[in-house]
Amino acid sequence: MPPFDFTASGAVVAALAVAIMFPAILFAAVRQRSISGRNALQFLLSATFAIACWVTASSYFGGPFLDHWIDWVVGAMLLGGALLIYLEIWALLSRGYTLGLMLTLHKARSPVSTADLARSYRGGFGLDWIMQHRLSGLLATRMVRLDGDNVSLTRYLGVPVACIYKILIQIHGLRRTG
Amino acid sequence: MATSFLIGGCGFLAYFGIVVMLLRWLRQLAPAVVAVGAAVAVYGSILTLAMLFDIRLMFWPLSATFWFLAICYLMLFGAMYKSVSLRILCDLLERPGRCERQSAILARYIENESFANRIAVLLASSWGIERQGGIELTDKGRKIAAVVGWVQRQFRIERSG
Repeated sequence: MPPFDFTASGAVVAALAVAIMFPAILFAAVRQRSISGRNALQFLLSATFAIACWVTASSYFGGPFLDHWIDWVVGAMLLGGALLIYLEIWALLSRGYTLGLMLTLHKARSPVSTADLARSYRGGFGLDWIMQHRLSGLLATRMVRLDGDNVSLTRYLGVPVACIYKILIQIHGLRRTG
Repeated sequence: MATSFLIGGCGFLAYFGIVVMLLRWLRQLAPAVVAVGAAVAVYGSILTLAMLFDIRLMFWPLSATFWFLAICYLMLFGAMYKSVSLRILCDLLERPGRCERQSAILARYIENESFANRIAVLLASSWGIERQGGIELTDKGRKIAAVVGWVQRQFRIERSG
């Protein structure tokens, strides 16, 4: 007798089905003019729609939450895990630094010096774009503040996050990051 | 059911410990390869041990628990290992007054260290090659760039970076 019980509840089947369908949901979402070009929002709305589909399908096929909450928890973990994998791929496609360099080299079709590569990065915006893009994210989340040309860590958010990050790097023994 | 959740959770803790150790021992391997490879190996080991010792487990609760925790950890690990934003925060922490000029961060980290690291990754992975005083993609690199470009077009992602 095999040691595993492969019985899948309605919530689990619904989670697997929605996870498989997610690229199609995202494919449709990026074609909505009102959110055109806003990659983070496109993903957020698609994920919200996918979760709503899962809740509806689980209620219909898996029974009420209070009676089958363990099945719902398992389904939520499966769907959550799948959405995190999609998020990682989406982030890589829309924010990947190394991929951005590869695409710049691909368009050039002949050897490019490192200085030209830096200048022509992201369709001619150059490496300064990365600085401005990441800095605007850090400012929006209040991790840093800007005083003229000076960037400094905020005491209550920036410093604790940087300290936690540094501790995690030491725990993992990573020599090079970023 | 509870045993399956417990074994999934304990499996994740074992995975975390193994990754921390392997990252120190296998310096020649890329940390991302170590982290992902260890997750697959630990999950495979849990299933194998359950079969060897004939432990009755529910597959979906076990797999969901282990993989959900492992994927959350891998997301955190990816951010820790490659995030430009977190690296800027960490650099600022070590500066006097936790403050630095934008232009200095750009020159020291973005234009030199981070950019040089990415070029080194391209060359080490055989996706790029140095030629005629510059860099160009190898056939393997061109294929990857073409696939990435195609996926970006399908999902209307105009640029990456």
